[in-house]
Amino acid sequence: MQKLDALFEQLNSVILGNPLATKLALVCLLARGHLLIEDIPGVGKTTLSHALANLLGLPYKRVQFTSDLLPTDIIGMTIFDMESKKFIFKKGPLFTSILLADEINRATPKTQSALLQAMEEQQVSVEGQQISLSTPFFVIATQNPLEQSGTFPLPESQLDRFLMRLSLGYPSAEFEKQLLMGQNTRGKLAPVLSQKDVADLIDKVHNVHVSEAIVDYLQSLVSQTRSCGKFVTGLSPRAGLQWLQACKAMAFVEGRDAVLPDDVKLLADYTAAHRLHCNDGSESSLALTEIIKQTEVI
Amino acid sequence: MIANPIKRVLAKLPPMPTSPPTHEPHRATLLQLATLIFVAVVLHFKIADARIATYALVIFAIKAIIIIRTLAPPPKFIMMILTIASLALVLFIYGGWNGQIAGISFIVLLVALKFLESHALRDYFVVCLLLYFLAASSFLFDSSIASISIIVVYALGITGILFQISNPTPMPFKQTLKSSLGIVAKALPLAVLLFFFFPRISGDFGFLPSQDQRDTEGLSDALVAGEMAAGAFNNELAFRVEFKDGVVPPNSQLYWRAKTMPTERNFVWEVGQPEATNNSELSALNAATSLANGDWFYSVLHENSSDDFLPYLDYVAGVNRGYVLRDYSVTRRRTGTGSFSYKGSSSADQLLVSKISHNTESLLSTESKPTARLQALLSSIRSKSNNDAESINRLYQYFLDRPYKYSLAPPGLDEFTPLDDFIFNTRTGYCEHYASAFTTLARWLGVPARVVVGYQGGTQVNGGQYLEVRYSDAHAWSEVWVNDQWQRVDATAAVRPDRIEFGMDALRELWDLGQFDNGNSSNALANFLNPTGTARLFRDLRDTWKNVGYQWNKWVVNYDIATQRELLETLGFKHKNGILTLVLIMMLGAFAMLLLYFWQLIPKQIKRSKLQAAYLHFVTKFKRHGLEKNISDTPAEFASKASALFPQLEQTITQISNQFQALRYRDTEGREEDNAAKIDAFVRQVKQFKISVK
Repeated sequence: MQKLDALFEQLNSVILGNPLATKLALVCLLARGHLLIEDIPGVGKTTLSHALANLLGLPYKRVQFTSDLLPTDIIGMTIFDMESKKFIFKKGPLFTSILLADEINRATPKTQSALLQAMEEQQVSVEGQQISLSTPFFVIATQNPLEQSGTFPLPESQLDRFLMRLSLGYPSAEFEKQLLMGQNTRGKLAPVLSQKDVADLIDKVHNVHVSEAIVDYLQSLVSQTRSCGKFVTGLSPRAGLQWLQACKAMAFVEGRDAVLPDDVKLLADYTAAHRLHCNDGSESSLALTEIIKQTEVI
Repeated sequence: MIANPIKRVLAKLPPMPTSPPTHEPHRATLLQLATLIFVAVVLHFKIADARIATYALVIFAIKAIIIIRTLAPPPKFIMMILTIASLALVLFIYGGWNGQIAGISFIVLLVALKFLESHALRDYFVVCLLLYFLAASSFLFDSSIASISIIVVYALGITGILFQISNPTPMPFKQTLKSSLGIVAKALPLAVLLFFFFPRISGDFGFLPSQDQRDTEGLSDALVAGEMAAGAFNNELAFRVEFKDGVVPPNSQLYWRAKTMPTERNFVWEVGQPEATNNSELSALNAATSLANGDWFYSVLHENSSDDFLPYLDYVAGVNRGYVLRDYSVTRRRTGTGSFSYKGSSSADQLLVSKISHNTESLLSTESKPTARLQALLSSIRSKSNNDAESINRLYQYFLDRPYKYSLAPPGLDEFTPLDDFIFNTRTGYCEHYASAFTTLARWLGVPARVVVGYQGGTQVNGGQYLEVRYSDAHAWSEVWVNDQWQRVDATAAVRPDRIEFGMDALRELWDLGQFDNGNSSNALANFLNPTGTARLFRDLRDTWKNVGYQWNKWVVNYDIATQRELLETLGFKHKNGILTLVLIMMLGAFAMLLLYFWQLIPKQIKRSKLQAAYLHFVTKFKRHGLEKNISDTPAEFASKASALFPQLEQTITQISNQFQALRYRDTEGREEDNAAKIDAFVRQVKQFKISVK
């Protein structure tokens, strides 16, 4: 727990004034989910993922997605080695623990979907062979919500694979001043956790207790997204599972051994909103909030 | 408190779509819809004026081009012109909008115009609804099985289109068919149930447009030589009769009286002006008629007819519809629409009401005068006879002895002396010639006589289960007043006995075979009357099909209050108030269903555990102090709200809240026995908790 506190301290020294975002990012990692950060450039998306990787002592790669990026550019490719006279597989940037997929919506759907299998199954198929990725494998993807020309919006199947979507937002005036006056700490962070520590933490998340009352509450919310008629499709069972997993991670990060309804409520927007599309094109968060408002908690 | 459950009930109602679907209707779907409309417009040619249908077709063609070439809908002023033109067209052709044909023409034009105007989804929904209405209103014109099958298929088509339209992406044909079949199948049992058991209303519906003077069949009110013969090949059904217990009178008694014709004008007999009504006589006659009397009991299913007279078997003994006149014809008070049914009973003898009187003078008068040759014939008969009965016998014998011929295509007669021409020259005629000639001669002989027009015989279907009487069975005969009683004299029977014995069908068969006047026609006749092999199979099949049509007409088309009562009696509702009982049962059933529906909507009392109840008790304690828990508030959220309001109690509130959270969310409630002590402690703690405001 002390290590976790230290980690937060470090993270919050990099991402100033947004403890919730840093907490959620960590929750996402501990829930073994992938994170989608949707925000304008320059608010610290890269900084956050960079810091997270450094502090956790995990190998970190960054891929800048462009429209001419090919699947082999991230998975890797088989090449003929002149010396050994054999085909060898040259691993791409995917073989890492934390992958920052920057501006993921700039890549073509072909390349985007190359990430699909990797994200869901933690393995990739290369020429019929299954190659496992390192554990943990954590994708932090970023996308710019405003720029629409020349982008390929992520398909629903891909959005469903992200456990969370969050945006960082502008820092407050006070913290922006600090930011402007302070030094750039990027790259100077020493690892707080070892790779083994991370694995242990993920294990401990499993031990967080979920009572039947919590399951009932969450399930009632999920089923209401299907029956309320506001959304094109309701939440999938996978979405429900991931939501619950995130709640457990949240409870753990908060230092509790049981999930509270507060966790479910807090995480609804981050884990469910990006998977839902309103029939009338309005913001799905609002409809989701409406459902939560009408659901009894006790 | 009262508003809350109602609010909850309403909240549980099926969700209404927040906004109507807005997608563009698919082009393929529109083409399918266009096909349906095309069929409707083309079928309209059959019913109404061709000009209307052509105009609708033109409007349809414009829309078809718009769809195929994906053009913009026509501007408003063109629509306005087209609409005014349709209005003018209907007014011009029908002179108004009353009547079924004008009404249906209106709907057809409405469909075409609405279809042309449509661009958004809801417009096409309206078009579909109009099409349903159009399909339903075609029942007014044709309610045969074939027509209803077509309408059902058509309705399936419209339902399919509705499915297609409301889907953003067009569905495959098979799925559409499945969906529309499913929805129609679900509706069908209820529709059948309602059809048979929903209480029928007697009488006409005021809101139905009035019946048009369509070319309905009926017997003419004047008997002109040669006119009835022209109908000898009219296969149109006049009515069907079912005899009670299968007791069918012999052919020689199957004289269906429709009307009598007492007035003669140059060999044309006409229905007389109603005599000055003698009410007491008529009421005595009608009082004497009763369905309990008679030798034969039957129910008639009459096709649509413009006639005011109902055919009853001679001589009428009881009626359940219409009014018996002094000449034993039965008139219906009001011409209705469509086919109708009635019951009757008859006996071989006339119903004799002593008061019935005759104006002998008018029954003897004729407008035409006998020629010299006819005078000679009359005086020869008169000289040999002692009384009226003998004169009539001799006259009948005259037709029997002379080479008179019966023909389905009799030659025309001399314009000035038609009777003389017929008796002495052509000597060939159809029943009306013989009836007219015999009646005229009888009057000249001084015997009161009149012509009776109706039907004779009929075709037995399905081994005599019921009788089909067609317009080709129309017949005319004479009635003479002899021995203070009306006597039927059918001169046709003297000339062509097989007309009566075997019926018109057999004669027509012989006519078609060219063996009408053949001496050895008996072979062909036997073959016709008793077919063998394929011919028999064919006849049986035809009979079966006819029977299906009869049952359809009886149970569906003419299903009225009387038939419903009959059905109820068969089902055991013997009581006089059977229908009332049924209404009561149906209303109770409907009420029970409604109740069940709302019962289900009432939220079930949620079972709270002891722990939850205790916590809710804790929450309620704040209510008096103006703090209510939103249902979505978590315990932690509520605790912080409460602490903000009552800072002095913060410690206790947090403690209770945390305790609840621990018990509810950490220790599984399933093992409550283990926690029983803790829960009891919590309950006590809540009980002791008091909010003191300083």
